[in-house]
Amino acid sequence: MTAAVRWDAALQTELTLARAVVLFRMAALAEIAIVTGLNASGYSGHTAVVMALLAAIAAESAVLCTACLRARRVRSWWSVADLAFTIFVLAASAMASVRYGGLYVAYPYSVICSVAFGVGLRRLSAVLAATVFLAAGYLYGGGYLHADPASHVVINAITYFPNTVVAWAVARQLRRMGRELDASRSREAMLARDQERLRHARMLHDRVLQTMETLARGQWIADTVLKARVAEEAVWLRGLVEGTDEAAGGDLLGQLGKLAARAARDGLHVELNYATVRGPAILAALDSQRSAALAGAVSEALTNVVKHAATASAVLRLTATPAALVVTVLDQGRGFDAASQPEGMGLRESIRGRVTESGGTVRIDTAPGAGTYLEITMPLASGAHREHGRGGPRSHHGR
Amino acid sequence: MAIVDDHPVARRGLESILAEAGDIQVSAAVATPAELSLAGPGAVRPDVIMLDLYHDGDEPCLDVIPKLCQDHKVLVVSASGRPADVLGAIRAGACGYVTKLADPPMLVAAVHTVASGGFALSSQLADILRGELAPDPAAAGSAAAAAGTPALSPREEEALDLIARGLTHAQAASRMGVSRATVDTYVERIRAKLHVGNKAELAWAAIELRRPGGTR
Repeated sequence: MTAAVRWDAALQTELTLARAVVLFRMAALAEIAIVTGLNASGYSGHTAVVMALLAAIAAESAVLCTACLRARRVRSWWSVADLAFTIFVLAASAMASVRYGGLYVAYPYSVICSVAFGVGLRRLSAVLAATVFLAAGYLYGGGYLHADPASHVVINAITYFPNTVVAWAVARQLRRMGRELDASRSREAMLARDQERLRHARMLHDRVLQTMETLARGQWIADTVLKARVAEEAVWLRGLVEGTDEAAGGDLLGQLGKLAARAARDGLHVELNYATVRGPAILAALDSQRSAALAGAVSEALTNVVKHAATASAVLRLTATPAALVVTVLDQGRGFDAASQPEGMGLRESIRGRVTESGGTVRIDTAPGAGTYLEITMPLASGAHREHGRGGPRSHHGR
Repeated sequence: MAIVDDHPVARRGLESILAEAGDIQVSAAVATPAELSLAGPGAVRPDVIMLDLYHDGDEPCLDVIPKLCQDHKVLVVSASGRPADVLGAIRAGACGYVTKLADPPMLVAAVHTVASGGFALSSQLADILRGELAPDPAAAGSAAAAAGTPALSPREEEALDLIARGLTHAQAASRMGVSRATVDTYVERIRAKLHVGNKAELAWAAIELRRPGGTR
């Protein structure tokens, strides 16, 4: 795909092969011209017929060579057409030689031209079939029409095979090397792009981000809206340079990062701890519905912290057991009395409802003045949640 | 204490947070560890050095930690570190790790903990240690396992897990049904398991963990 567009060792190989076909054809034409010229006296006055045949060969060669050079490659069907014409030449030349005298010039011409079939046809079976047809054409022209001695004819017919097969093998090897070169160049380019991206990320990290994060926390910016904006952008930039945005299967991580950025805008610093689930494998096992339920619940939980907890920081941790993801949101804020205070709409519907619907469980620990601890356990696969739900009140419906 | 951070704005930010705490005196704020020793014999010798993990690029400055630890207590800070680098810093002798993004009170508390000889186990550090010292050898912890860290006990793992969730030592203790002192003991044991015996081993561990292939 990109390799073909961007890198062209494969295209270069095709052009080289096409040029080789043209050069072989030139040599064949030169050969036929020299032999015919040296034997001009043998045609006993029928030069016009011989010349007409030569003109046809020259015209066909001109068409083929022009096509090869313009397309910068040899197409398989051209080889098939060329094969048919060559067989015609083998027969016509034999007839002319028998009827009007002169040498049978078509055989050496066809031997040289046969190299092109090995280049033009891609499959060995096709090359062998073409060579069999070519040999048959020669047996008909040279052996039957021209009546050359059988031993000569058989040896000559066999000569085609090494030509076409060796040409095929060499062309195949060249094409494969071209493809491999393209692939390796494309890998190199990707690697270089990645390194460049990393370099940029590091520069952003080392310079811009550090400044922004410091500004977002200190007293240097008096305007609270602007300061919140800087904090949000800093979290976004951190997500960008650390690559949580695009972690494979880590859609959830990206979403949690965005939620952290949103919380920063609202004045809540969220520590996102996920070192135990850094590999993409664990997160990839979570389906999109559960991932969305988790993100929605976390979003609501952070909103609650912003609204009610009266604290500037919270810890959001993502970890995993063999069968479940565990997300915890903890703040050291105001807390509330779970017994006397009925769960608010947000907690009941947006968190508990959403999570239990996806097969997960929610647990809340809180007391006035003791902060709030929210633990969401989400099974990675259906049915696995029973043994891992440690169960808050009214915990889960089975599935 | 002294601050070593190559980023001038971040250095300024840390300095102002610590200065506001009142009982912390910042004696030096420099860009590289080398500048610390230039202060001369008359200078105040800092008890705690707050050391930025990454100076000037991608390589963590693990090799200076064993040397600094001979005369000072080292608290590593970083905006965010690769888990293996953070583990390497602790193994090399650092007394704690906090991110620069931590709440100012937390940052100050970490400095106090380190100054009094404790181990500043922030929630990030707990999370990273939990990830790196995973009992599953296929997981991230293989580097640590290969480097010969003794396995954590289930209770130590539990404590680490709770602290990684943001619980204080006291909160973790009540959740585990033990006393605060017991949790402190667990934390000290974790630290002891991470630290290796002598200086040669320290240097070796630092180099080993710095090798690109050896860490991840």
